[in-house]
Amino acid sequence: MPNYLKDSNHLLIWPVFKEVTENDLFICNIGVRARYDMTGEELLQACVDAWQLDKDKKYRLRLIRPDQQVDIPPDTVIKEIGIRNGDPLEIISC
Amino acid sequence: MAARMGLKQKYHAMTRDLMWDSQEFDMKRVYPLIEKEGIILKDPSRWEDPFRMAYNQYVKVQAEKDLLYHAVRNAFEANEGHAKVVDARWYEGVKAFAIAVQPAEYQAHRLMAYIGRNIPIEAIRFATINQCLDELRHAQIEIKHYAHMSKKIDGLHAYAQTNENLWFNTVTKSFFEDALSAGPFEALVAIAFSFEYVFTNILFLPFATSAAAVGDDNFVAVGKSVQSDESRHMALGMSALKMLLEEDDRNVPIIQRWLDKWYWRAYRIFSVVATLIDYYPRIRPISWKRAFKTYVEDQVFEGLFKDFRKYGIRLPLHAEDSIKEKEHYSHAVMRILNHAKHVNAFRGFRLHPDDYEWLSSEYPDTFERYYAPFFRRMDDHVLAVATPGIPAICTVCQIPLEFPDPDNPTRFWTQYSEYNNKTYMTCSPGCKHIFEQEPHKYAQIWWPAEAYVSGEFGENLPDDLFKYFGFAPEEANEYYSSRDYERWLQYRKQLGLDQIFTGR
Repeated sequence: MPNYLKDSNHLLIWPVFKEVTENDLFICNIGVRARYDMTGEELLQACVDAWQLDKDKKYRLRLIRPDQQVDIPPDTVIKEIGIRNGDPLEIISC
Repeated sequence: MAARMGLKQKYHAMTRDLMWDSQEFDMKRVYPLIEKEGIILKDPSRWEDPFRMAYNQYVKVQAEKDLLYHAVRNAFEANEGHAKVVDARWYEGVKAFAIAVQPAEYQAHRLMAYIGRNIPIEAIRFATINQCLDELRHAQIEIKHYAHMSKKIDGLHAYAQTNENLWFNTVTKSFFEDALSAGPFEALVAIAFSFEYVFTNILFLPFATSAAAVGDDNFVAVGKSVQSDESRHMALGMSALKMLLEEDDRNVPIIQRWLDKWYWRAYRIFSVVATLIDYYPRIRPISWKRAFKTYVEDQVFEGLFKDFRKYGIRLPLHAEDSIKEKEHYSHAVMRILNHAKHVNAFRGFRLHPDDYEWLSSEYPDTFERYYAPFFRRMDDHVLAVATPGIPAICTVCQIPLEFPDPDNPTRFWTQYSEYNNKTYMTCSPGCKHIFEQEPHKYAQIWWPAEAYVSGEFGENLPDDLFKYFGFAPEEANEYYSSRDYERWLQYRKQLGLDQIFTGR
């Protein structure tokens, strides 16, 4: 059975557009494919695409952990940031 | 000989005296799970099945129930009963019931067989055999009706496949697989007490009353037939729990831990019932909020749990959260169903002015303020509220993570836990607590959301999922713009039910 996660460079992340968690739409995190060798900026673009957001606007990405929230730097490779398979993320309008 | 026996003697002869102890094998090998959970039993043989029903009586009573039910069903089907309900969006709710409750009945029969096999107490064993057969009967009588309904409505053509594979049904499956992989005493508390005693009244009474209000006579008969068994199951649940509490004081903290867990597990699995009461019927005899107050708060928390205080048992840990959530539950779950209605076997729908009026009057503090704007978004476009992807689901209950915090309803209630170098999400403090008691268990779940996104069923999402689910995209989405609605109008026209008669 094909499975994207069989490749050790692959992971799934679960971003949510922060705005829809604060209005009546109330839509939660959705699954997005990613690679450990992506930069933070590439990951942000993948999340913006998945959420079909207005690309003319600016966004930033935040990693959610039980004990902390970490802004994802755009230029760093996400493996170095410590992003793991299954991580929830927030897309925040700037 | 049997004719000269008294009732009590007959009952013993035909049930309890059939039990024997193995002399050839070590009893610990025959019943390997009996000591694994820490439950201490001193003299369980004194416990009696509250109904004391022998097998020949059981078969006679159940046969009569089946004959009655099938007479109603036959009449309903022969006379196009489905065309006569006040609004056939009701059947979208019946489909939800078909996909969620009937597999639960089947799973419950497996669970009762597991409990009976592993607990060598005569009365429990006999009561669980009866209940095991009851659960199969419940599943079968409804499946028979769905076979007929699949000729009239969408979503049920590949019933077994849809039940097996649809994401919505993983909620039910996860509950029963959780119970089946627990020890037999925990499974007994899970099903017989938390599921049956606490919640089946709220499932079968309000939903069957709603069926009567909208004119679904078949479902009224289902509700009555099933509920007549549930009252026996409830008595078993209560009686078994008291027996475990009275056998030894050291059982009390174990039972309390199971009540904390399984109350919330059962409460979450019944979340869709809130929508079946508040949303799917066009005429509603009662709201979820009122039903929850009557059947859970008044009868269980204020009644039963007061009696349990003498054993040292308190209310389940997250009971207060469920009380607070009753103002939000049906709306939040209906919102979830509408987010994903384009990939579900039963449809969501636009609300009518009378729906808004009823929901606003029943929920004056929450509906208009927090939920009505969401439903109004669908007035112009039915997919205006659709999720743009595959939603994350709770690691424990497997419902999408879209419950609002009842103390702050514009905020998500989603919780985060760390286990084995991974972040796990749960929908509420109740599910978080359950996860953190046994993270090794829940970390093993087959997570449908992850399987879908990782391409196990195809690369083109969500379209590739439909083959696996067993229905077509046209069978999903919004009811009043669907082919089912058009067909229903045609049925009514053919029967002359589209005419409106007025007096002089």
